[in-house]
Order: sequence, then C-alpha cells, then structure tokens
Amino acid sequence: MKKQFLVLVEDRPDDIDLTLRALKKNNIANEIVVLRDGVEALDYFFATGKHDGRNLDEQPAVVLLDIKLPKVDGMEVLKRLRANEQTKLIPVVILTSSKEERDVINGYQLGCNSYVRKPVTFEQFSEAVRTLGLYWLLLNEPIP
Amino acid sequence: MKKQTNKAGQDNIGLQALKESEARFRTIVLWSPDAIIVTDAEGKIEYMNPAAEGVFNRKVESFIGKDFGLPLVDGESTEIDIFRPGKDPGVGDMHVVETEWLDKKAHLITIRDITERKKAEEQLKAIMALDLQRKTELLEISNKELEAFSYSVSHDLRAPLRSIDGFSKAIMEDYSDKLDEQGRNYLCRVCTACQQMAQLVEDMLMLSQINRSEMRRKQVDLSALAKSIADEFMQNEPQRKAEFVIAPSITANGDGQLLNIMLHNLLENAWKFTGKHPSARIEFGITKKEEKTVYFVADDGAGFDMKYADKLFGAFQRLHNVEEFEGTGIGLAIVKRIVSRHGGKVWAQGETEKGTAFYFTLN
Repeated sequence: MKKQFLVLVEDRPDDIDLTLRALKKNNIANEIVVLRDGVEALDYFFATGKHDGRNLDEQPAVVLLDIKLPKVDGMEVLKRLRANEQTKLIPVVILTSSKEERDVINGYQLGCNSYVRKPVTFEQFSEAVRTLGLYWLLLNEPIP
Repeated sequence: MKKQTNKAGQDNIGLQALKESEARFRTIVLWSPDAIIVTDAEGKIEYMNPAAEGVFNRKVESFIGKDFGLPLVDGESTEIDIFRPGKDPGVGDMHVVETEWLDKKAHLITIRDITERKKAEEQLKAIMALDLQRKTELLEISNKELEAFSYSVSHDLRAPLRSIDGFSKAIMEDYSDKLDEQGRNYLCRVCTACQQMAQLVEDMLMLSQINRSEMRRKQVDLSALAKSIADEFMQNEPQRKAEFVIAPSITANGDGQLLNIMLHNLLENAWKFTGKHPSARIEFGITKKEEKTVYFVADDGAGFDMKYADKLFGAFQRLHNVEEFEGTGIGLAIVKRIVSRHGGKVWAQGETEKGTAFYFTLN
C-alpha cells in the first residue's frame, strides 16, 4: 500500500501551526508536506526548482489549498494541476477564509473537489481539520 | 393771414414732431442688435435692418424682393438654423407678428442671434456630461474599493482572529496547569472578545453582501418561512414560555433568501427582547395602510423609547448594552437594506417594557 500523506499549501505560519496542531491533537499522524506559496506548490507538483527530482509517482491523498498565496495564487495552482495529465486527478480541497460567491464558484469551476471556509473559532477550525483529515485519509478511496 | 401763418406754423410744428418721431424709430430699427425683417403677406422680403446683415452675413440688397423661405405663423417663436455664407451656420430665435406695412398685410419678423449663447449652452452641457462621467467613474471606483474592502474583511481580518483564538485555546489546553485562576480568566476574556469580533466581521460582511447580491425575485411564502424560524428558536430554547402567532398564507414577491434573512432578523429581535419576560407573545401578520399591504412583526417584550426610533436601523447602533441583550447592532440595519432593495419601507413602533412592532412594505 502506498503511503498516504497530505499536502498543505498555506503561507500564514499561524495557520500552518494551527492546522498541524489540530491534526496531531486528532491523532492524524500521517506525513504532512507544507508548501509556503504558489510557486513552491507548482515546483512540488511538477518536480521543478526547489523540488527538482521529486518522485512524481508519490502524490498526496489530498491537497489543502489556500487561495490567497504569495507569487501565484491558489486558483492558478488549481488550474495548472487540472491542466496536467499527471496531476489532474489529485483531490484538492480549497481551505480559505473567503466565502465570496465568486471564489466558491470559481473554485468549483476550476475543478476543486471541495470548498471549506476556515472557521475563526478554534473548536470549529479544529473540527474542520479533523473531518477533512479523516475523510480524505481514511474514508475516501484514493486514486489507484 | 395771421390765421394762415398760424396754420403754417402749426404744420411746421407737426412736421417737426413727425420728423423727430421718425428719427427715434429709425434709430431704434437701425441700431437694434436684433435683425428686423418685413415681408409681404406671401413672405417676399420688403425691408431688412442693418443688424440682419450681421445675422445672415450678407448685404441687405441681396435679400430685397426674395422669398423669406421659412413658414411664417403669427405669434410664433421658433429656433432657426441660419445659413451664413463664409461663416459657420448660426442659430436664431425668430418671432413673427402679423401686421400692416404701407397699408398692406405684412409680417414683421425679428431674429435674435443666439449662436454664442447656444455654443455656451453646448459647452456647459459637455462639461456637465463630462462631470457626470467623472462622477460615475468615481462611483465605480468607490464601489470597487468597497468590494475590495469587504473581501479583505472576509479574508484578512479573520486570519489574525483565528490566530488569537487558536493560540489562546492552545495555551488553555497545553499550559493550563501553569496558569492560576486569574490567568485562565484573562485568557477566557481574550477568546470571548475574539468571538465577538468574529461575529462583527461576519455581520459587516453580510451587510455588504446584501447590497451586492443579485435579486432573484419569485413568490415567497412568508408564513412558512416565519413558522420554520419560530420552530428553530423554540427548539433551541425549549424552556422558554413563548407563543408565536403567525397569520397563514402570507406571501410576497421578492428574493427568497433575502426575505428569509430579514424575517429571521426581525423574529430573532422579538425573541431576544422578550427573553427577560416570564412569557412572550410574538406575532407575524399583515394589515392595510392606504390600500397597501403592510407586514408586521410584533412582540410584548422590552420595547424601546420612541425618541430613539431613528437610531434603530443604523449599523452598529444599539439601544441596550451588551450585558442586557447581546448582539452587534447590525440586525436591523440588514433588515432595512433588504426592505430597501425590495423598494419598500420599514418603521418601528414601541414603548419601553410594552413591546415593539416592526412594520414593513415590499414592492
């Protein structure tokens, strides 16, 4: 069985720490790859630049993708993932602060698998991260 | 003889007076800045004053005996285009009067050259159009800014709040044994304030979204909406002794989602402000005012002093302090915006400790 891991594309250190903490507290011990901006995300998924030589057979069970990212934004990352044969099936969950209708519609149009708005309160945030982790790592059947 | 001399003298005086009068009128006609033209009954030009030369930019002689060329209606004023050889066309204000000229029927035409005035008017119009265009552009810019602002409220203000709440809770969870009672109490207050601010941000966002959202009008069953909202409140607080009186089959043409938010806010308001009373009666119904349907939500709760009636619908306006009744003070501002978007009006009537009634109309 392939190892199941998560990718978190997020630029805010606080959100990274809170997400990692929520996963840990909810006993989700899978590996989590953290990518800090859109360019790094693209490098990772296409094994270029900083992630040159990465084994592209290993793809995450899910990508938690923020929209507002430095350099290249989350929507652009999603568009590029969907446009490429090797990455187009990777499950992507948009995890963002925005619930602007145009962002939600845009996200689904570009082919995200789910759209989750980050709650402000810690309990709800923790619950959202736990649900996402359990669903995508345990319940969901990964791409063969 | 004397008599004759006398008569001749009188004739002389008469002639003199006639000459003087003629000179006066001649001066008026010759120096008039307006063109004065006389035509016969058929419109053939018989006389033109010197000002006409300026107006038409042609010699008077070239007109005499020619057809005036425009319909002549007694008593009418018209704006005419003036063709002027060697000059740009002009605009004249023409008045026609039917009169007599040398004992024959004639037309007296006066034309005032209003070319310059028209030009100035056109320029003013152009300036005003430009001004309007600039204002429209400014409005578009400020709308965009507002949109950018609410976007950043939604995105950027929530992020630090999440950090404050998240890390406060992390301290509570991981280090609470290192804190004394007071320390834990302080942290609790941080979290409470954080949640209040999160609610404010959420409400602000809602307010701006209500303004920007597209209206999707259809027939909406307000009674059914009110019923399900009331059920929700009763389920959440089953211990409360409250009665909802909802008139059946009240419908309205409007945006279902917006009307639901509006009813929710009004009923929530009634629910909240009856909360300190042992029992409550909340009513939703309709009445008529000047042939128009007026909807109302009435309660027998805390009420308010009518002298603050104009403050009720302002954003972030509160008539009670947070310890008495919680809330951000945005609910009724949202109600007002939704009613305005439906072309209606909303007003309130109340008395301290004797309840409140909110009335609204929809178009």
